[in-house]
Amino acid sequence: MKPRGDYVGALILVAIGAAFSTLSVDYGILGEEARISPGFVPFIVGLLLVVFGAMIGWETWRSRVHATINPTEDDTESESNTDKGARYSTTKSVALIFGLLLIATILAPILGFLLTFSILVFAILAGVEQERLWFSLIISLSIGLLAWLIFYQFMGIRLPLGISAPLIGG
Amino acid sequence: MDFFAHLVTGFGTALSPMNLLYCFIGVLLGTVIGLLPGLGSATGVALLLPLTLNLSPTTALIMLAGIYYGAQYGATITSILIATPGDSASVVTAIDGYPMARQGRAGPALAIGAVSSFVSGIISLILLMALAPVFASLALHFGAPEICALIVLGFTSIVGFSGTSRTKGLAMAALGVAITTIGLDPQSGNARFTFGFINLFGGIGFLPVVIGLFAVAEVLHQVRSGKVEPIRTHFRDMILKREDWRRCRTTICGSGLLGFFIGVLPGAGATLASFLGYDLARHFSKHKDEFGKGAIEGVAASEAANSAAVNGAFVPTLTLGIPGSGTTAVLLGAFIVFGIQPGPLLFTNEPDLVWGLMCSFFIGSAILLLLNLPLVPVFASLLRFRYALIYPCILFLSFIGAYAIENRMWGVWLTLAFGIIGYFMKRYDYPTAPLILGIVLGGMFEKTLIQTSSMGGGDLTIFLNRPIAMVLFALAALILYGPYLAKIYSKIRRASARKA
Repeated sequence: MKPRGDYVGALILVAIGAAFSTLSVDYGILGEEARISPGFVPFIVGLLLVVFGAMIGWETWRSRVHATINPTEDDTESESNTDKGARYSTTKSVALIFGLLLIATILAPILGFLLTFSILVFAILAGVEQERLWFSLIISLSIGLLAWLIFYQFMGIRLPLGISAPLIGG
Repeated sequence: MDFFAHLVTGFGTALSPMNLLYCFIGVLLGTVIGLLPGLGSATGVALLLPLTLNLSPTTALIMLAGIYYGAQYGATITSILIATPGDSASVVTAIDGYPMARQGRAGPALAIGAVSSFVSGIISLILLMALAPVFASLALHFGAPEICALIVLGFTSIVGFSGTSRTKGLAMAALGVAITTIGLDPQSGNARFTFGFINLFGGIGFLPVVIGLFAVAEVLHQVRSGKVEPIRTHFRDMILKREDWRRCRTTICGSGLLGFFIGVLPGAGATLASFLGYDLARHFSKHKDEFGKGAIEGVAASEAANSAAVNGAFVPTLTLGIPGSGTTAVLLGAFIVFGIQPGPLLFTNEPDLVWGLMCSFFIGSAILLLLNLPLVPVFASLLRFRYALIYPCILFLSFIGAYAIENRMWGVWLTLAFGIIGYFMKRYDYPTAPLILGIVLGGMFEKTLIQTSSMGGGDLTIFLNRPIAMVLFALAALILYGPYLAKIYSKIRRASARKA
């Protein structure tokens, strides 16, 4: 059970639902002769999201109360320092990959798609996974070349070339 | 007698060396395209259509149909091995296929995928050949209210995909429907929830969402869960056992028949078929608890329904000239490019082409099976590599696939955003399949609801005058409330037995 995450999730769902329902009123809910208007479906699903979000919050609260009254082994077990360290390290890796993906998406139209994402593969292998530099370089170049052959040459997909256009032949 | 004469003519055409060769090339190319994330069968057929322009119409259509078949199976391979569905119809396959692969059972999962596609494909082809006109007239009885009721029935399968919390499943499905309302409204064409942002006018594409929620989120989830060991299995674990086949054979037939019928309905498509086929299998399975955790019946049901729906989609395409799916819409375009007019007269005017094409489906299915079954251990060996080496490549191919869908960076941004959303959904046990189901069905639901409302002049009691729709609604209610009613009934019986 992850109560804090579930409360946040419930809150997000309620907020999204409320936003959809409120904004959909502007598009009209029911039109002439009570015909369905563009706002009808988003209004209804918005309300449903509010209800389901509230239910998730309620269920989380109820299970937490239940866990306080009848604690199980799982509830009382605390994480060891080694586990905490490992968890911190993997969470850091995830954050790093998020960051690298974001940077790659921003840079792809400027540097060129294939070049940017090949660099991304290299950065993940060498930076996050601590592989040897030459090995990371070979893998990233190979995947870049393979993608260039399949997507660019064979399938004719016009990927953004950016400054790597002369290199790729665009 | 005519039927058998046509069959002989059809096989004569399909088995000519030239057609056989192009069918093989089509299946092979299709499999390769299906392996690439985001490039589903519709994109594959559209991309390779120019290659067929110099061929005779029959050969060209046989090759395109081969691409269609091959792409379906290619998408299954990536769904099972790396949880990256190549197209929307193979999303359900990943639900059980991927856990099977992580348990070292990628071989049986891939094999049952190929076998169930083949078996249900053959069953549905026989139905297609023998009863196409009957099914076509049946499909004509399915207007907007009936399709709307069918979609409601489709929504009931959320129960099976919700995991530990049904409320979370329902919330995710509602969120999926809400997402489909972003973009141009199907009724008036006015923009909704776009806030002047031009990329949102076209709505939120389905495939970038799927790639983000499945491929990217899964990679991040695995990275967080720590060191993922390579999966080393013995050869004997890669082959399908008699027990596996025994568990799946009825599932394949049941889900296959259901898939075919859904495929016949214009617009319903293979994705809805695979969701409903999976749900049907779960309902009747003796191993309900294994579903979602690596049940082989789950893979068989999804693939059988998907494959049968692909064939079913040819019924309205060939007999009515109405595409049954996205890919048959592209194929319909190919018919027109070659100067052939699909419709009621096609069977009379072009018997060689139609029967040759339908017989080539048999040949294509057989080639697909013969090509892929021996390759199953090879595909499954991919998991022997360290995950640290595989996942950067999965990310690379996923993002390139997301770009290739619409040839713009918007797809890449969506994939990134939904990858992050999917990661947190996995972390906090929010099921992804209902969200996908909501996105698949949401647009269709709104469209058919609006059409029904217009048909009834704003009065939705029009449903009451549509017996097929009412039967479908009753079935949906039975699926949702049946288990509760059964529990109440057994409680009452037990109480009365105690009294007696």
